[in-house]
Amino acid sequence: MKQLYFHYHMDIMFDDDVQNHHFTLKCIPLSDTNQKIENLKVDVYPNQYLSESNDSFHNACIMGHAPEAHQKFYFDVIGTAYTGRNEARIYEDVYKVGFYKYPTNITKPGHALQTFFASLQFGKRSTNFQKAMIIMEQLQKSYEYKKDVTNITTTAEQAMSLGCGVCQDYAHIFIALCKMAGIPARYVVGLLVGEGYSHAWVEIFEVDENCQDVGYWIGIDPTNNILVHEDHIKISNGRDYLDCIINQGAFLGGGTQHQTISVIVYEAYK
Amino acid sequence: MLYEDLLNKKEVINDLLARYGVKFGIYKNNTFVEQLFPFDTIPRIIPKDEFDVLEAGLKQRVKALNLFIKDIYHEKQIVKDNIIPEDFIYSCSGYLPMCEEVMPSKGIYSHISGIDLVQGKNKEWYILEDNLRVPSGASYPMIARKLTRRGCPGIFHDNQIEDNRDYAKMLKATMDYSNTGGLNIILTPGRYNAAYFEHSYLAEQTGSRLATGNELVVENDYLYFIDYTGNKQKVGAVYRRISDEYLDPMTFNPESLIGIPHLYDVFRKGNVAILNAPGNGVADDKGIYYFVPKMIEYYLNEKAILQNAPTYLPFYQKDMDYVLENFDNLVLKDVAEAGGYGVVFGSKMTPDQKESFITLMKAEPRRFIAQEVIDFLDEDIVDNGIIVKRKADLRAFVLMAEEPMVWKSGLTRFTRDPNSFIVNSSQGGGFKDTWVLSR
Repeated sequence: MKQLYFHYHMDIMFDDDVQNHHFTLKCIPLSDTNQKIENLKVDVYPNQYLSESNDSFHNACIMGHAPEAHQKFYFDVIGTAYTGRNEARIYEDVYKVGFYKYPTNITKPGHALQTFFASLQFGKRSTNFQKAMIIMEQLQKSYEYKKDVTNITTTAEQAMSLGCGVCQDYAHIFIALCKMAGIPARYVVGLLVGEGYSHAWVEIFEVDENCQDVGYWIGIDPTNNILVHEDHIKISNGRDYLDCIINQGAFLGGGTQHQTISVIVYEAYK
Repeated sequence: MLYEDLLNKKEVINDLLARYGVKFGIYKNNTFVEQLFPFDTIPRIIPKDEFDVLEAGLKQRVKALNLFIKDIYHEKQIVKDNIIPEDFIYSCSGYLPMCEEVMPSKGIYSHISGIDLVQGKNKEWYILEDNLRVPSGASYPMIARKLTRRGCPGIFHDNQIEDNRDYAKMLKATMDYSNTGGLNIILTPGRYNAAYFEHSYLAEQTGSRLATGNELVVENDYLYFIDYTGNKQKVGAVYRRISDEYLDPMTFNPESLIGIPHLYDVFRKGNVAILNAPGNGVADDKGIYYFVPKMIEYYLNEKAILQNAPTYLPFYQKDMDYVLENFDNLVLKDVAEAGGYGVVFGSKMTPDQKESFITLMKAEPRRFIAQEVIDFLDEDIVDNGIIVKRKADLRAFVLMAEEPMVWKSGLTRFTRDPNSFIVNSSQGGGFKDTWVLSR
């Protein structure tokens, strides 16, 4: 159990007036069995028309509309997260998470992923979690962390054939491989202790050993080759990056955009 | 002779239809071409007792389909009970996870269903497909009937034909029933859409506003129509003639310029009705079609009144074997295609085509269905002044308010090519009125 302070800030400056700006933000961590979020402060600009809701993946969304001309946009999220709580597992019915077994356009395998998958030796490892560990182990050996070779639209297949990428690519590849092994897997966006950007990892669905009809989600961070633990703060989840876009916007004008993101997460009383 | 008057008026009526702009737009080599939708004045006639059976069967089918879509996006009992393999649901392109747990106004998903049927030579009707996304075509028999009545009033006086001019009233009742408070809107992508005539005609007939995406705006969780003076009026129901992926760039395709940002979020909160609800594609998939009779038994505890055309799913080994053995007697359909595309007859393939098709089918069995070729009961049409027989189907319209209502008419589409089975207007077919007799 850790007490983490987090501060997540994004601002965008536009060269030119932006009008009729609609946006949906998925930037707010929610309390669940692993984390408890307190003292949450959210600030959004422009804030003329704001409302809140949850999407179908249960992510917290802030929706906004700024009809007037503006050249600045930002959001700011501050709070305290009590992580690594490991409370009683929340069980879900196996038949209700079925859609997490099917590939999306981003996680659809091609030749590179199929070749890699064929090289995996699962041996006697039969549970979803054991298989996922094998996938992570092998991925660590053959995939390299490297910035600026991929971008936000890179698919799992493209990232695999490049042989290197960032956390988003690790997560997409990992999800694609899990699905090929018949394991329901989903994409997670969150924050990690330290400074920098938001992070991406994966949750896989593990079937309960005593009752095959139910199961629970386990967080795995393939980029860092570790299980999700008390340094991770979860923000959102979905089938892939597209379900978790932090700031989705539609607007007129704007010219060139300059985006600045800063994430700071540190432990209290250290 | 009953038809004589009708035959004489054919040109006059077609001229009037052209003047009213009853056209069908298609894209040919990336240019938009509007063509006339040729009208044949000889109607398809369905006797009362025959239509009574159709009506009962269609109501039953649409009830079950609505329950199925609701189940898929909420409880998923049909998956749990293994009536339909989950593969057929989750790998279907019309299944949209972003619609999970979203309950439409009054729990209705398919308000306007266009069910395509054919009649075999044995007089038996078969369901060909269910169109639950954005089915079009009701306006054509509506206006054709109006003009035919004007041209040949005697016929309607002397014969017991059910009036079909109540479609707009039924549609308005359907919109009103789901309406969450506010205007009824018909949302069109604009005049370059194939069915633009229909959008404008239905708006006029139902007293709804015809609007494009840029005349509608979301503010504080409600949808507003901006009228020509700049006033905002709250919207309660949107009969959208735009497909799911273009409806809202915030939830669906972010590239869409014809949608309304945050519309789906308003819908999610129950503050507007969308007809038909997004996500319906899961039930009008050609693979799911196979399971509809099973759905009827599962949800309603009734036997299906109307039969599917005999269908095989290569997904099941037993069916795959049958398809390979009887390849030349079957019609094969790619489940992802619509509008008569992706339909091939086993008998019309060259040995090479057959071989590559079978390879593809074995690699992706989930992608195809195979059906027995039904020996259609042909309809009379006039071709250059001579009456000839052509293949035709029937699109029946079922509207869902508190209870399903079946329109006592329908769009009869025929092929002008004597060797073709494909009746879709996008493939150059024509249409007829459908007369349901009241005795």
